[in-house]
Amino acid sequence: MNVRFALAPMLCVAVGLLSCATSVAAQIAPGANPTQDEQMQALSRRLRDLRHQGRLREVLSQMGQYPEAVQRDDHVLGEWIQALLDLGKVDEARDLAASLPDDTVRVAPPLAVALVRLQYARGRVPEARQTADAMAEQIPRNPDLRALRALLDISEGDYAKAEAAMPSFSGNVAPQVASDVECALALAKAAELMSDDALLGRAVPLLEKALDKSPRRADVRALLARALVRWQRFEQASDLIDEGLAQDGLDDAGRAELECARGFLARGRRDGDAAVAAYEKVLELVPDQPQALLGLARCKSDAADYDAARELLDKCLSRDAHDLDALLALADVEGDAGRPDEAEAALRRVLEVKPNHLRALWQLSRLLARRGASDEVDALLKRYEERKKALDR
Amino acid sequence: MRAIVACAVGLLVASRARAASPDDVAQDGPAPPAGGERSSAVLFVEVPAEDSGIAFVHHAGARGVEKRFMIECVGAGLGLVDLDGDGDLDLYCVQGADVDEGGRIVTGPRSRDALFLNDGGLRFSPSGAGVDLGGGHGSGVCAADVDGDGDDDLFVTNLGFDELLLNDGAARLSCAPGASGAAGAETDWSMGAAFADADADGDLDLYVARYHAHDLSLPMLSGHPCTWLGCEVPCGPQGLPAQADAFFVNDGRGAFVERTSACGMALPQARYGFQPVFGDFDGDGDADLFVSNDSVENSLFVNEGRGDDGLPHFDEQGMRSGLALSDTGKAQAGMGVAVADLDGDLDDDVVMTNFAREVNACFVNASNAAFGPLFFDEGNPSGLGRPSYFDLGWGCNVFDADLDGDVDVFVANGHVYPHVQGCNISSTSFAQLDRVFLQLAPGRFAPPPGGAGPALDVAAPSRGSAAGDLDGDGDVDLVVAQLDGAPRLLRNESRRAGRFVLLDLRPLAAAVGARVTVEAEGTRRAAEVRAGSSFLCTEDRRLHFGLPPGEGTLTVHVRWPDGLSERFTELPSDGVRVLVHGTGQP
Repeated sequence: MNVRFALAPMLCVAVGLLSCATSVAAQIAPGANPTQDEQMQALSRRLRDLRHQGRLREVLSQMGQYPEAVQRDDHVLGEWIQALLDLGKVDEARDLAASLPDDTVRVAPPLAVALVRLQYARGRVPEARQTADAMAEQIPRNPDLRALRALLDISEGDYAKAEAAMPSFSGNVAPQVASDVECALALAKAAELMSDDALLGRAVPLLEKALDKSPRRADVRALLARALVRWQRFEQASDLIDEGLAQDGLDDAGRAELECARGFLARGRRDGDAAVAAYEKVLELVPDQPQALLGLARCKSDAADYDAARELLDKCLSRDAHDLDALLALADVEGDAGRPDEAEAALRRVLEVKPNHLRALWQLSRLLARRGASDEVDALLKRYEERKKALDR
Repeated sequence: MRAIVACAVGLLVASRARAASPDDVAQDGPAPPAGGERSSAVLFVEVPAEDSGIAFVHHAGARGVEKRFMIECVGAGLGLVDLDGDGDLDLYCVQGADVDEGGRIVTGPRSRDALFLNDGGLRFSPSGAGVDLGGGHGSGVCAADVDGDGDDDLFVTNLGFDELLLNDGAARLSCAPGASGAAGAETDWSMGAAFADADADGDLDLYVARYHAHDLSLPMLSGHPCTWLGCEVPCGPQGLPAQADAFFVNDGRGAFVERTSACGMALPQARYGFQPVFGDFDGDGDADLFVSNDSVENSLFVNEGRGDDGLPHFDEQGMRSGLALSDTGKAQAGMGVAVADLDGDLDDDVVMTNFAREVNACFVNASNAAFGPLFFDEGNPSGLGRPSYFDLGWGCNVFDADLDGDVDVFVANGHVYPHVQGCNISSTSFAQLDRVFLQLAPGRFAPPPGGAGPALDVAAPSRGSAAGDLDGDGDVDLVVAQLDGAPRLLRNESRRAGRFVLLDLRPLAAAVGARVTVEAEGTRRAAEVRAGSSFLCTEDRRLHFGLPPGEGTLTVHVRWPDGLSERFTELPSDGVRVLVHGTGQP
């Protein structure tokens, strides 16, 4: 295994890279003759400082000036990848990381943290968790790592643990990272609150606060818009979406999020045509975006175009066979289309994933009642009652 | 109603409005199939109070956003019943009461109900002095001949003791002491009431739905915020203790004994009851009972006959029958109820109004001997559901508005909370439009394409609604109670597509629960005589049938609650026909 940078001698620095010494000179003691290691460390610190000051464009500018540094120093590379992640440029960060040899153990903290952040950003939470936990044994006090682990805690639903760690971030981690943690916490909590209508009102201020701090986060804005739609504040939701779509530099993923929220708003307003238009726009931007597929399927079902609805739901389910919303929508579509056997199959799939899903238990019992299957109806209703009692407690 | 309070922690909890996600509820789809488009022939015209003489204004505590308790928001029902025996429908208006600073109910002259006698021509006169009327904070009224003397008496539900007003046959009402055993407790908040001969012994038994404790310690703005869609509103029902309903058996002389538990009607957990309606839901000839409940499962008490103890025994089958929850398994608000044969298959279906962001439920009867009572919620497919998504429904009436031979549906709407007006909630207002749904094909309804007349273009905070032929012209008119307002009298001026008959079954006590099938021009329609329906209302107990055009006479089959089945033939249409028990052909 090839161990880079911290354990191996520093490679020679290319001529072009030497000039970077001037821009980082301020970080090296006056009168000292900096070694290449020192120059790299100074550059890394400089990049980190810029990130911490939120001056991300300057990080990119620096790295544009000294591209070879990335090849020479894992600290620098780590900071650059993190800067790209701070800017939401996950694909570019991924490409940069892809140039690293696979058999290299990353022991430079910035790079190790960067790679875990990248795993997280790409939705590879279990891998990120494994790496982060391993790193925590070596650098337990590293603030970036602590922030990263807080993000992972949030992903795993342990909000209290994340919240306990958050006060230590102030001034110690890049503002973008701190903001990511705050947004992730708000999004996760809000999504959970929004699953219960009685708690919807608590999601709105949470998201408003997060958006206030991170006004460019399209995902936060989109979720807030959806919460407002469910709160029946259509005008506010509409303004929020329009404002987000008008922002400079909005990428396709963000635009898709907001257009999807627009589709949700249109359905809330009972405007089926506008909803279809919005969802179709999302699918042009991000083909197979699950929320748009689901929303469009419901629109098609409303218009009694059951075959089209089923096709869209099949696409959803081919991405995630356990998508309960899609399965329940499929059961509705099949039921409305007069295909009770297919509706029953969809509901049984829901119950395979979540055996005590109340709605599925109820709807399946209704389908079976229509067939006269008394015993099975009674058994399902017994399960329903038991689950309900447990929830009521 | 939806606001809830977290008593234990003293914190708010939020609104309980459900079905909040637009993804949860089907959107407006294509018009219901079959039947095709037709221009609306339905027309309702409001008769102003100065013309009708109905000088009554309901009031319940504070007005508008000053209201702090649910008791100030629920409103009341009303009654259409011939109390003076002159053959036309009189109007009984249920009054609320003042609520003092501490939330206590203040009864007195301002809480007195009102009775208006029908003078004909849609003119009414207030009943004379000396007549006993309900005097509590009233909820609803239900008419039935409880003492078997041949006239209708009134049972008035209140927050506080309920009242039984016995009729001498000339609309001179007198309060029965202790409401003859059915007064309940001073802390009871009774809602709807319904009568039927549940034990088939020839007298009428009584079911009273109850809501929740009126908790004086939890007014709005007292540090216990309850919200609906982020709007602070009075608390209830969830979070407040539900009160158990009560079933009273009639001793044959108009006195009642509470037998809820003995008859199998006591539930493990009390529910927030709104409106009970008796009906033969499983088609076995006896009186079952449906109760709409707020925010929790509805109840269906299936009558299993009289036991050795002489009492009727019931089995609660709300869940199994499908009546407990919506098609997606949600407990709804369950406000008003109409039970009628909606699709012309001669059994009774159930329409139930609900909260905003829910939709009107339409439980279609599919009961059969093998499974027992069985219903499927077809709110959206029926066409009654989708247009009602933003409505908050209360009263509900099923009748043939245009005399075309099938029934139509009227729903009274109005938001429960005046407070929503200032909360910037889209597509929501306190005053709302009532709706008419015309039947286009069996079991398929839609709002009339051209509307239902100017009276239906007026938004108002409607509550209970009662249907009946008030002017004796053969079509069905409406009276709609308002929260903190005068009842609206809506005269039916619809273009008639066919004929009608109004069947008056006698004697009164024997008629409630009678099931009638009318045959005319090769069609058959069925209906049942009821006492207690809509939202906290009593309606014309005479059975009104719209009939297809034609010249032929009618054949009427009656199955009386005592088991007698008989046939009345050669009945002419377009009039009131009195059918007396035991005078038909076997």
